[in-house]
Amino acid sequence: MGIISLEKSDHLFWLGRYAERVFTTLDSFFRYFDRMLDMDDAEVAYQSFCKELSIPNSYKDQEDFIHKYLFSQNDPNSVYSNMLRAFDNAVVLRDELSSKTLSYIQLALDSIERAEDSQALVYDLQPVLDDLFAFWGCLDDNVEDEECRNIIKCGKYLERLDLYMRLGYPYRSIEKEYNKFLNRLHKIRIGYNLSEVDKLSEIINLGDDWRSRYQEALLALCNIF
Amino acid sequence: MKKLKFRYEMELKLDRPVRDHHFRIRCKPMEAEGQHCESFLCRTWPETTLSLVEDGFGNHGFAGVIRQPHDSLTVTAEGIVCVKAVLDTQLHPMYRFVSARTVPSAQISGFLREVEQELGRPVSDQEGLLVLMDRLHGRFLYVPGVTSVRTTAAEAFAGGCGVCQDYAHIFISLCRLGGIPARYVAGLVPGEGATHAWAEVWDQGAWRGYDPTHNALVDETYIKLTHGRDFVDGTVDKGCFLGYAYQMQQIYAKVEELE
Amino acid sequence: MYITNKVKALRFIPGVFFCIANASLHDAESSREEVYSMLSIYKRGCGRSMRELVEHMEGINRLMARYGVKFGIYKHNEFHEQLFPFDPLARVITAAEFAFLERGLTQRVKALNCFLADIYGEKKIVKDGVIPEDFIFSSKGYLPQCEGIKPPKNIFSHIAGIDLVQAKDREWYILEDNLRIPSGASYPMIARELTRQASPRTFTANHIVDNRNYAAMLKEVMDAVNTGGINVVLTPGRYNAAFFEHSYLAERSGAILAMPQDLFVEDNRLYYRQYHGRQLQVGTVYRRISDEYLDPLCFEPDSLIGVPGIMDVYRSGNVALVNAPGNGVADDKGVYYFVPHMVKYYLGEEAILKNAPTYLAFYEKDRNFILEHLERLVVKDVSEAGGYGVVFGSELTKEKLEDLKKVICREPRRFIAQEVIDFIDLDIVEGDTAVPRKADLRAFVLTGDTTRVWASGLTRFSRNPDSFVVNSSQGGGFKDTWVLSR
Repeated sequence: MGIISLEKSDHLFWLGRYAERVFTTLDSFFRYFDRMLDMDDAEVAYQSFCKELSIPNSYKDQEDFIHKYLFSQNDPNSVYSNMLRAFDNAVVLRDELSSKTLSYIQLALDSIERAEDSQALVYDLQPVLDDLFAFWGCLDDNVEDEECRNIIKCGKYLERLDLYMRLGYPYRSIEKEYNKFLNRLHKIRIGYNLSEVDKLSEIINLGDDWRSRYQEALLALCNIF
Repeated sequence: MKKLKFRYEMELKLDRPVRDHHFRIRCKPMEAEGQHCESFLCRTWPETTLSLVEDGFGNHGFAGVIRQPHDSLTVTAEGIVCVKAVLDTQLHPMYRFVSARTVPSAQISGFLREVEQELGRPVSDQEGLLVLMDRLHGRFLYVPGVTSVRTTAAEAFAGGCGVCQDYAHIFISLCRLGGIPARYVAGLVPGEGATHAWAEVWDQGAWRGYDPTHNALVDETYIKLTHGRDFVDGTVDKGCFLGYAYQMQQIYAKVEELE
Repeated sequence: MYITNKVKALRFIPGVFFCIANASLHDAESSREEVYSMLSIYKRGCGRSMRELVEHMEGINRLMARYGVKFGIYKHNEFHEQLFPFDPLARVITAAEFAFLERGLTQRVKALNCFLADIYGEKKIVKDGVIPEDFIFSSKGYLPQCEGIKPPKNIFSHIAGIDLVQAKDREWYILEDNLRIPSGASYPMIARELTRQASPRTFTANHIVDNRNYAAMLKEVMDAVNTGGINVVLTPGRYNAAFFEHSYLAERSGAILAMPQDLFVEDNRLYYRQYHGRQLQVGTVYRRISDEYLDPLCFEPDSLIGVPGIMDVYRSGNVALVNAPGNGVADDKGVYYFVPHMVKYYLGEEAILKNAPTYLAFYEKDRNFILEHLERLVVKDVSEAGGYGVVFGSELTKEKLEDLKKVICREPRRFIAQEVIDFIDLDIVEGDTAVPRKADLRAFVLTGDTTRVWASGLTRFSRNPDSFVVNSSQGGGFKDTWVLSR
């Protein structure tokens, strides 16, 4: 459409962030879940997971963590809550995104709801990742307006960068995502804080040593907008 | 004919800044048969462009908007107006029917019956209306501060006291109940103080002004600003803004006779 | 009077559908069979093509969920979204029948439009004594704030939703006109889209007029009255009962879905504010906000969802509002009685479509008739809406009947009475069988440069066998409406 109000740009940005948050945290959760199966002390695994994501460990035990972190509507950090927020942002954007693109967000939401009583979590939650992949694909294919895609992807890559840094992804992935983020950032017409971008660039340019300034990098990222 | 010099000031004070403040002011004397504005000047502070707007009742006003944060709005207007008794011969049927603020209560219709019994006939002409106005004036006390801009005719009448707006509302309610079209008028009268309100009643092919607050017929010293079914339609200042703020509105009006 | 327009805390207006106040019997009936036989019926109530749709019902419902075909309702002050139950057995209207309806509906809407232009202008119909002024100027729908406004191209009723029922003698009757914000067109539109996907053979086997042109029709209307600028669909927000429809129609018609805070007035023009600060002029607003909340400076001063000053822009002719504010005066229950008179008065024609036989208590002759036959009539309070204030004489005790008579005599202007129409039920699928249920049809009549009837419509039914209420918030569902092309 190409005609975007302030409120809509906000929804686009946050749709990008939440959709990405669901995707990446779920993906990481799968890896943690896999590791947990073999560990004697499974508690340690989920506690470190919480710590890396900076979410409070308000769970009784591993069982409680798995269920609440994935499906609880009352836990604001749960995958489900994030999915709901992605949906809330998407549903007001039907005219921008098209019904087709929007339907994948609805499908992802429904997929999580359906998986709640699953005995094979990874298997039954896989459709959520599939739906989100389809959402991004449909967005690229179906949404003509570049500005709209740029805003949503700006949100997406900002979120991804944040999560990759927290979750200890290798430097190369971080550098790659950072470049994708910068590429979108320069194309949108939303004001941002240039000095924070410079600071972040400086840290990322340190190469593998960037981790020595980990906290600073996260802070700079969150201060860009 | 009278030549009148008038001044109108409105100050709205807000205890914290608000923004996107849209307002509409209708303090320019109505251009009508028998009333003509010789000069008129209106200013607001903060300054903004004013555009001339009209409403469904035939009132004209100025619309403006102040977007930047501000904690007060001042409107000043002054001018000279020539008044012969205003003569309007257009009757719109809406003035026959009750409006939100003038719904008659059992008390109001009881009062109308009393007056009709005293007259021995329905209130249908000027003589009857003058009696009706006189009895209302005797029954209802002028006490400021008891009623508010939201008070209805029925509430005011039940309370037994109020201000010009309430007198006008009750009188209008009584007239319409008796089958006579009536409307609300906001305007200015000689002296210093606030704006005034009275009623216009349809009488043999023309509107005639009745001022129940002063128990008098409206004459050439009354400057008419707006009219409508009741207070809501005839509001002189109206506005809305974004922000939480307590507000205090002060109005000052002054009318002097020239020559 | 000064009012504070507090930020946020929006007020939402739950959509009120309506109630059909007609009784009916349940037996299967020949004329419907006739219609279905055209679709090669060999099983009662379900032709082969219909049967195919029934077989694909699960798939269709899955698609409905996927595309979020929902409506919102408020329960205990909380907002809930529900799927709008869809029944696959479509209502079928033959080409000849539709041609008849089309003529009748076009005529009716043209007359209603003339009436609105007249009422807010010269008022000739009142001066000529065709309609008593009591029914107009004391109607809640009459808005004096709109006096003297000439909307672009003098169109008031751009989108009319006319509710009809078909009686057992196959005669169609108008139940009510909705000229304010009739909703529901999006449901048969998307239902068609999805049923075509789920059961393509149904549509190759039958000659059904495609109804997905509604969006194009809507766009034509918006373009026709546009005063220069973009088209927007103005929604009160996500938590409105019909939000799905607002967003779907915006998408399909290529209009921008706008929230009230996206629009603002400057120099007597309406603008849409973009995120980077630039503004775009708006030429048409298809507003889904009721009149009283549209402009806090003109109507309800406490409204938090309006656009201040929009009415001034509209009065100056610098923006088109679809539909025109003040249209409520034409869909008032009392004014309904006079629509056939309007057709005669403005168009010089006899009304093609009938009103349900109606009596006005206001007229002495009618009043006497009502008092004599009250036990067989249905009485409606004209000041109530949304199915409230409807009383069936047959359901009242002797004392209650007497009480009602007294009220009618005391306030005759307030009441109309109608004959109870024995209308056709439609089959719906319940489990493995088809059961008959009350249903009505909302036809959509769009007016831009010409007046056109959409070859489809929203068929609503009550799921409860004893209920006349086809209200979606009371568990009612909907069907697609097929108009056959030959």
